[in-house]
Amino acid sequence: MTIALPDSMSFEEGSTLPLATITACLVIFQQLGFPLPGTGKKNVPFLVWGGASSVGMYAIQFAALAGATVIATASKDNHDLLKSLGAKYTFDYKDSDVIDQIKKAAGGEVEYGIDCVSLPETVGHAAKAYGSNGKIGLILPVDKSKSGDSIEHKNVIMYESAMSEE
Amino acid sequence: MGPYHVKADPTDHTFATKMYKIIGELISSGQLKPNPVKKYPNGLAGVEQGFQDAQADKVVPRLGDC
Repeated sequence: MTIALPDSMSFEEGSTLPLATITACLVIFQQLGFPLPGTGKKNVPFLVWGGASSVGMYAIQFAALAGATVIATASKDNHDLLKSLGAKYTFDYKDSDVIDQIKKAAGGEVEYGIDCVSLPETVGHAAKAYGSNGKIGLILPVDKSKSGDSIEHKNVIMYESAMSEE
Repeated sequence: MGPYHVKADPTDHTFATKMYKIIGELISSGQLKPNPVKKYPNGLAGVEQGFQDAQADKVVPRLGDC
């Protein structure tokens, strides 16, 4: 498994690709079943919690490429950057009414998203934006007895795709 | 083998092999932009400073840095 580095991209930039892109892709295209870029559109809201993280910035781009309406949380300083990557709405996760802001932007409860922080507190908080059929992709396993939510957790770990049985 | 063991998942491997090809095409065509990077001087000696800055939340991307 390799990615060809185009002349336009530095090796340093290329080094951000292998782990973060495939983590975001495993959630969006495999676990949540969004159409691969260029094969269709899924025009639904998609929530990226922790949008300015390394996986978050790729998740925003891939979800946008799949046609989703991307809603991302991050500090205010990063909102313009995330919009330039394809986020339609950006909110400050520190706002006390951030969940209401997300639901208003989504036109209701969210069904799909990724939590790029994946701590029990962030999952428990973000889960309030999801409906009962909600599915959230996690980059670390989260104990439901600690997060206290009732939505479906989809765990991914990139290394599963890179390992071979010995 | 160390204390951690991640089991290989052939389904994920097949998916990732296909996906990496698509990712290569998306970055070549400019549809996918690389994450902002900050390069530290002094080779491997700069790694420790990088980790310290990451722990202090100093490497979160800012517009203008990239």
